[in-house]
Amino acid sequence: MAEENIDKYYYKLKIFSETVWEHKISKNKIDIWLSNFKEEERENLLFLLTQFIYFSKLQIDNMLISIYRDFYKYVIVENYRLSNNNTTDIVSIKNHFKESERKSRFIPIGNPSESSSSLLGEFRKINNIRKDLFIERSELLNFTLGDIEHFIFIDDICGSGHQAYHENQAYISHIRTKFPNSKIHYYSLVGLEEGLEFLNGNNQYDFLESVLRLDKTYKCFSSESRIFKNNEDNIKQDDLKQICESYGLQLYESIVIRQGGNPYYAAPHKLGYNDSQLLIGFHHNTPDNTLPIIWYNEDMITWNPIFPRANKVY
Amino acid sequence: MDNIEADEKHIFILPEYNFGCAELAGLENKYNLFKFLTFDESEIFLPYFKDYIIPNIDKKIAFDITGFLRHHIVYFIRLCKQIGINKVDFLYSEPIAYKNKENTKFSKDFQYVREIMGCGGSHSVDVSNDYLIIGSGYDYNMVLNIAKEKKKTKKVQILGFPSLQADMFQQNVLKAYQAEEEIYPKIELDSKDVILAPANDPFVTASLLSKFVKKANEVSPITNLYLCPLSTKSQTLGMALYYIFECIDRSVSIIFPFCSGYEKETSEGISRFWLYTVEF
Repeated sequence: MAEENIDKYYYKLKIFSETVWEHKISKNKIDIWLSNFKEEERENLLFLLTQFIYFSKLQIDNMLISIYRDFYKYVIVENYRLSNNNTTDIVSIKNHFKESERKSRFIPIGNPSESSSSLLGEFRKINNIRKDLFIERSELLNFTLGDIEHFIFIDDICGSGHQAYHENQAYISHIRTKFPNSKIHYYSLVGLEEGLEFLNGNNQYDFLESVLRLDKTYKCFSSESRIFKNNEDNIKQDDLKQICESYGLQLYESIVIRQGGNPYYAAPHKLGYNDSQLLIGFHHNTPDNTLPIIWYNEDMITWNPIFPRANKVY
Repeated sequence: MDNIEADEKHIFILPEYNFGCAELAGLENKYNLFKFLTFDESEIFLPYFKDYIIPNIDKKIAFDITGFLRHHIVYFIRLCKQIGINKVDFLYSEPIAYKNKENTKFSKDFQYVREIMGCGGSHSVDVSNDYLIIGSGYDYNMVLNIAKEKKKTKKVQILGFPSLQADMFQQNVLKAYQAEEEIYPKIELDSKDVILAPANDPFVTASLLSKFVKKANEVSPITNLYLCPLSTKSQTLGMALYYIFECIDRSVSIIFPFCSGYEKETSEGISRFWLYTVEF
């Protein structure tokens, strides 16, 4: 390995760990992760790890504040002001917002055991929102109560957008039928632009936004990948892609086999679910949109993940 | 620029960017170019306000902050407040990426630190609880220069989060970490000396700044407050808004490390375009 580069990468990772990455990694942990790979591959992998984007608890809290403040509260306030001759009457603005909030329900995507459900608990606490404004998605089909104007779905990541679309279809049909005048919102901490565009094209949601949007430059091995742009370290994108594909395929095959599927179906996911090719992780979990070599945490293959994915049931 | 409808479109050519004639050739016939040789913000904007803004005070004004230098943005807002303009739209183009990530160079040849024109407060001789709040961006040499200038102040950093792009917060922290000896011994992102404010929202930046100062004053009255905008142009706008609405005639100044040059091309692409309407 080129010693100069190696030292630079370890130094960068040390800073990340001591600051943004909440001491989640140490040199020892990095070396254990590197031991998954052949000696000649390790410099490339170390470089790749320096490109990983981690969202700490502090950042996630700030993103949850941003969802509530920027996408929800300020939009309600702005619309009220616009329809009331740009009023600056703080009392009437506050009353209107309070009333709008009372007519809102916040809903996590997924079932109560999934990460977006626990995220919603944080969302409630940090934004100081009344508990009765939160409902589980499963409760929606029996929900016919009152004059609700806003249904707000909250997710940690919008990848391809297919999960948010397909899994929510029945619930959204119910809302449209029972609350025809209500608005349906979908907000995520992080969203792939292609996923958000997919959802937008399907017109399922009236409002759609993500705190951070990831365009195709965040796909590690796309031709426009930001990771390799102006890279002075002579790291070859094709070499690294081949390494990640080769290990990623084995890892994902084991997951598909465990689910009783044909390993053939693993290929599209060898660089992350549905070829997402991301390098991101959250305080609460690592999404499967990230490269499997980062998070694989199953029993079928001996593998030392660097940011393990907590959810073992697929 | 081409897609905006306006009676007049003015482009300022600033000496710090050192544009050559060939680079400006395409603009000459399309827009009204204002070429300056002076580095002084008041020499640039006072005549401009006299000739163009004041005579058109009843018209709509849109000011694109993307390419202006930070002290120009602050001074422009200060003048708007001074002459009683009601409303200005500020435009800002978010980059897709900075050219060399955290190693992108922005400023060249640091000269000196001074107050931005019109933003100097009358300061107290008691300096026992002085604060310096820095909007801390990638240009960590400038952060160092400002921190050295106000060595004995308590240092607070505003970091941009949510950041303009997902990878920019980490890159920003990398740079801030390198400046830490002068700022404080160790960067603790969750400490009370770090304010996280959205990198693209001047209004929230101004509001968080205001809240921070109020809270600090409750604990122990701030003797003198120095603000230094070195982060995104949106946050610079936010710091200037906080100053003009809450700090004029108080012991608060906006200070800035002046340089003789700036890199022309520091970013790549435009990811989003913002319109901030400021009602004075």
